Amino acid sequence: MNFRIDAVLPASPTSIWPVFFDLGRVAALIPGCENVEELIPLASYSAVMNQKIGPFKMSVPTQIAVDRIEEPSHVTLRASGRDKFTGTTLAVLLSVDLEAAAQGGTRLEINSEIQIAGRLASLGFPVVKKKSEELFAEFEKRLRAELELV
Amino acid sequence: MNNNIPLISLGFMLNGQGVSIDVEPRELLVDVLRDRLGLTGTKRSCDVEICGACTVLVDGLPVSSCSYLAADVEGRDVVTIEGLAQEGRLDPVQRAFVKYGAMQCGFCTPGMVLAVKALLTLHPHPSTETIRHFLRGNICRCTGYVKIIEAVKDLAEHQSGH
Amino acid sequence: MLPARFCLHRPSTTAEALALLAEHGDEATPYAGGTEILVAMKARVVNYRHVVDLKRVDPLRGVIRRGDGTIVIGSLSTHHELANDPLIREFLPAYAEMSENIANIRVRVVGTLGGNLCFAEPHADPPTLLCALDASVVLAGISGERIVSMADFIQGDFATARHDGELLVRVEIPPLESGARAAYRSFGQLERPAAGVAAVHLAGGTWRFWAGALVSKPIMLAETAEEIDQRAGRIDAHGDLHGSAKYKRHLVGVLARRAMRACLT
Repeated sequence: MNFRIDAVLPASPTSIWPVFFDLGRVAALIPGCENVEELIPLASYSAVMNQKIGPFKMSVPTQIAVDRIEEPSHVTLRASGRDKFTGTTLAVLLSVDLEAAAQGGTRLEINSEIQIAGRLASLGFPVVKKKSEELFAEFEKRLRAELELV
Repeated sequence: MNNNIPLISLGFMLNGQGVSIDVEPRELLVDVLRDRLGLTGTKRSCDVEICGACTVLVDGLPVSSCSYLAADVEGRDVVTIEGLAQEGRLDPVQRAFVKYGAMQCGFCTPGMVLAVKALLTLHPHPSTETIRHFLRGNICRCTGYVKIIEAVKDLAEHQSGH
Repeated sequence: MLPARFCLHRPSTTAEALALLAEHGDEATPYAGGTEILVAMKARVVNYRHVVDLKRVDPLRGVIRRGDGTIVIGSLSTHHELANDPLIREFLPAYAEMSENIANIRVRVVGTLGGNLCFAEPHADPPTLLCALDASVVLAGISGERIVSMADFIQGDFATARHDGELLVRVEIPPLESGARAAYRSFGQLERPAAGVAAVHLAGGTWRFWAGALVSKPIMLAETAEEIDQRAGRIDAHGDLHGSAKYKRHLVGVLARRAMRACLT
């Protein structure tokens, strides 16, 4: 599943960059992402992804690695994890690009590739897809709220 | 959780005989019948109660034994395919299946025969539409159902009531 | 696969069942026929250490008709029982017909109305007709009972208004006015409906059409026969294994007309 956020923000890339630099803060904006811990600053983090659709629950201990980071324009994260009980695996690639835009603003582009596999996903992929879309939409809403504070 | 889950003392009628057996709550009826009681006529196929190969009768009605807790037959009357023939004499449903050649590989047959048995108890003289509707949950990959329906129609016309 | 190990509890009263659910919280599940929950437990996509079997709680069974004509269905009634119940066949023949056509005979023999409503799999038949019939469900909790209309009960995929510690104990269907007719038609390839439409024709000539199985809950489709095509063409529908959104919208139009014809003949 692929998701994308495109936005033009009034603040400059250097003002916006700190939001993304604080990777723990960004992870915490993801609905269901809990217990975010910094293991090696700017390199690796851990978290737990908790999701529930009716009776179907999933708790995925997740390792987050920073693939590439270039202040103040780019960061790529990779996250992966596995829920022990349902055997659900999660693999996420998230890349953030900040580019200077007209009148001192920023063009923000976020691309995300999310793969969910395992019994729960194969039995109910349409429901999982719908839930993922809802989660990403909520993430976008929260992120925009954070960026507005800049 | 430790493994101290109390076993259930199960007592039920199986093909006319009383059975007493201790089961774990999570044990499925199909496994108790096949693996613990040696009655392998009941087949496990899809394991998600769609195909009907695991059909057994509980109090005369068909259930998917693959998705039925053994504990749930407490005090009830279970009939498997092995319970139809009496002293070596085939049940009328079995005889009709033989007469019409209503099977090929035979894998769906135990479930199909038991479903027909239940059908004729509920509807002694079913129309073709009723037969098709009742049996739609028993899937056969070999026969195309034609001979099965013919066998049941023969029974429907000639049986005097169960 | 076998389910993961669990304790099986078999209460004989509603109070006992509620106490068990309160004690074990989200580690417990109510259990009736198990046609949905047991399959999910076998697939290990849900995990419960405690299973509260409701089949010995007698007050949850049976169908009665109150003096005012309301039909009250115990939540542990199986689809097979309801299809053959004399009260349902006489006063709600559309419900008996729908119940007789759910899934296959084995699911109808074992599956209960309460279980069907509480599991809230979107591709289901009873909720659509129950919405059109203006039914309500009664939820029992430690502090008492509350009534929720069928239209408000299902809230999302596999999600209902029932709180974890509550049990769905009854479904109540108000009487149709004299001369009113109802009918339900659905279609699906995978043992579940891809789309279902319930029609109610009131004595004065007005209609209510509800469509279900398309999204997570039934939707009011139309209030006149003339609106059907236009509304069906625009109705919310999720494309999935049961069919594309476009296919389902087409089905809704066809099924609505069939349900309408069934009401009029």
